[in-house]
Amino acid sequence: MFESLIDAAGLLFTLNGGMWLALGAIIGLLFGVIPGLGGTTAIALMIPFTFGREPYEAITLMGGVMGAVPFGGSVSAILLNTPGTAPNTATCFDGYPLAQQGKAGMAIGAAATASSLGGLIGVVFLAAMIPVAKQIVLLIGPPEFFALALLGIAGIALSTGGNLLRGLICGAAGLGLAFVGYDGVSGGVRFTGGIGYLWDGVPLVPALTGIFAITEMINLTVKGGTVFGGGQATPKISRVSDGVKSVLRQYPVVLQGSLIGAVVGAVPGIGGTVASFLSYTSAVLVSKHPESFGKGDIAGVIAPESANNAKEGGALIPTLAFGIPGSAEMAVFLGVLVLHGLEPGPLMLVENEGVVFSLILALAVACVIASLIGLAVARWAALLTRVDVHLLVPTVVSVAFIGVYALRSSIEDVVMALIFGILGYLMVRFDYPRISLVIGLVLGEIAEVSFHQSLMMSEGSWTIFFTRSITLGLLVTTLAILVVPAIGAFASRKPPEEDRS
Amino acid sequence: MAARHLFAAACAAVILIGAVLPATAASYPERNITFLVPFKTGGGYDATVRTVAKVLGKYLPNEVDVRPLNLPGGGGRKAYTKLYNAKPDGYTIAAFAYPGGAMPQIVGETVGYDFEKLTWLARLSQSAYMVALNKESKIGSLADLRGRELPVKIASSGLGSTSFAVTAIFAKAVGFKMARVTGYEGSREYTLGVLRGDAEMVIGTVEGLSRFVESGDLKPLITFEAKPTIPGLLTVREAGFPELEGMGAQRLVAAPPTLPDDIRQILSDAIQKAISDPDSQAWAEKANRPFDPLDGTAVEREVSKGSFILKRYIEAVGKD
Repeated sequence: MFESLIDAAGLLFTLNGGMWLALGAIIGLLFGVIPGLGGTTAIALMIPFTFGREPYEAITLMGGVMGAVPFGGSVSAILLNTPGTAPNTATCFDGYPLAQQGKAGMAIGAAATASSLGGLIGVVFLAAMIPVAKQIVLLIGPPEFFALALLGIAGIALSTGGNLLRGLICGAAGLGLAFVGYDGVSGGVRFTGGIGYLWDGVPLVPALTGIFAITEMINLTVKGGTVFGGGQATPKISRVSDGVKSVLRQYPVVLQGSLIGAVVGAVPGIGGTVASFLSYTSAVLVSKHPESFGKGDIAGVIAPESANNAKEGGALIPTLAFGIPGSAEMAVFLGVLVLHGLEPGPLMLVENEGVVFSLILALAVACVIASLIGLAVARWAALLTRVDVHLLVPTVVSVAFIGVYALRSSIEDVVMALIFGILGYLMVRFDYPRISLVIGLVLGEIAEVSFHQSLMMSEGSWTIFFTRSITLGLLVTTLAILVVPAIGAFASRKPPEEDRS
Repeated sequence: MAARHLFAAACAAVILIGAVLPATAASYPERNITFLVPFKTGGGYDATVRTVAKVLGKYLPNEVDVRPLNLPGGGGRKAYTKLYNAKPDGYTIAAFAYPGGAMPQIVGETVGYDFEKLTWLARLSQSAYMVALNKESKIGSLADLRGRELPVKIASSGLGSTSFAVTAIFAKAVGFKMARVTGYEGSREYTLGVLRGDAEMVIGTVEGLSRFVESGDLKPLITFEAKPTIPGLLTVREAGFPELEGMGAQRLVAAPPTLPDDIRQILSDAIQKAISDPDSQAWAEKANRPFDPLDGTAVEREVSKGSFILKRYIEAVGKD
């Protein structure tokens, strides 16, 4: 095992290896920054370039891409309220308010640091789990998926600000949207209005790009000025190093986020978006100041970003154990291996040890490289928040639409982004929380399918949710989230919190 | 060097053929060809298509690029509908997963294409199905299956998918009670479901499942192959179901309906040559994904025979 590790390191830390890795990291950053495009697109587009290359070169390139995409995506989330990739969505909630307060540099610094640490913790987690990889993957099945999704959905209650009713309306609307398209269980088509485009449901990337990027651009256009609303009076951009320090101070949030990311990454079928949402909600739960979230709490940036990077380490666990990818990026990556004549499967760690270690190292080093680049340019990137809307809006709108179109070469996706952009603007305008809608949309499908699967497993008996310890633990936690604050509020009879969107 | 000679030969061939054939094929192909792939990038099928597409261009009368375009969605319905409605000019062809792509129509769903009208160009490869069990399962034979009081839980994708139909057909043929655990996205997910114990039985391609048998994570029961890949494994013929033999996933290539015969011939021949190309063969060897080619006419026969059996069984099972 150590021999392979040393061999892999020997290949990576050469001029050739370093070049492929740096190239991957730069491509990853770019694809991360541009809304709509993400890791899967980047890797898919790179495939033809790896033809005729040595497998380890291809692997290093892909590892570079996978390690760098999450941080790239957080930059647009923070500066423009536009998640660069779907898993960066949760970063918008607090990252953008920080940018509006003139603390963009600090937020980017925090995201970069949290990304690297998360990525490294994910790799450590992976290394520690290799001996028990199989057991870990087999531990989490449909009942646990359901309980996890429910826990995330309970986050709607936390994200509603003061107005629970509006939060629930939006959450229900989000769930409704998640149920559009094929019912994975019965095979029936629902709520599509006869539109073939909706067969596969409301596509997540166009919807998220619309409801954040396009909405924000409409909002800015109406308002005028710049993202940073403070005018010229505020003396200086907050320092990037403050962001780095804030992460070190908040190390429990980093640890918690990374662990959630790694565990969720290890579960095939639950994506990075779920990981970062769960991490965000958990950070709110354990915070001493839950009311500061959504208004620019730095922990709201650290939590999702650490989870987002840690998930790739986790996603390798089922890949190694069974040859089954834990994330969308990993699935494409396995395709690359097949193209290079390597067979992913349960014996992968035995047969292709070198490949595995090349990837692990490339992933770990790439997220550090990406973060270092990020820290170096954060100061200048933050100036984007001072660019006038007349320049900013047309650029961002064009890039967002092109990104959404490029994903599947589908013009319908662009229309979908526009529809969600208008919907999002109306929600902001009339003070309905977008977060609730997004949580419903992201978690609805997995909650529904895994609920049905659980009942099929138990032949209709509900006891399945109470006899499995992990499921039970998650359900009790969820119940506590919903009930404890209510009891607390009743006991102290505080006036309700102020609204926030 | 070889490519240049070949190109010269191809040019000469074009000039010669051009003199005798009607205009449609004389100049074909004049521009790049789009090769639709009904799946996401990555995965075995995608890799097979890309390997063939990479060298296909040089075996056409004029060397053009053959560009794979992944168009996943609706279990292939999106790509097949696009293919069905494309101009039958030889510039749009698609990979077609059979019987997966035919299944919605066979079970009576309205889809935007009619697979029976497509022009078949070739088969790239195939993999027969096999049945495997969770390693803790107490079932060791077909008799155990029939003797079970409680239904056997089988994991599969949803209604309209191949795995859904084949599991029903198998249960009907052998005669045991089954219960479904479904809703899985694809073969990887439902295989994992059985490894995890969500369900007890899984039916999938030999290619996909034999690796888990080899690693000791699954227990094999029976195979639909004529000659078992896993030594000593019971075959459906031996078990008394010869009509089920050969049932499996076929990786076909199709063109829109009413493709002119001459263009069909050119494409069909070129695909066969691309499969025999040393690069393709080297890849197949290394990746352990052997080609199993058939030309267009043979595929047409296979498809009509296969669909006949499926339809008959689906009627018997009552669409489940």
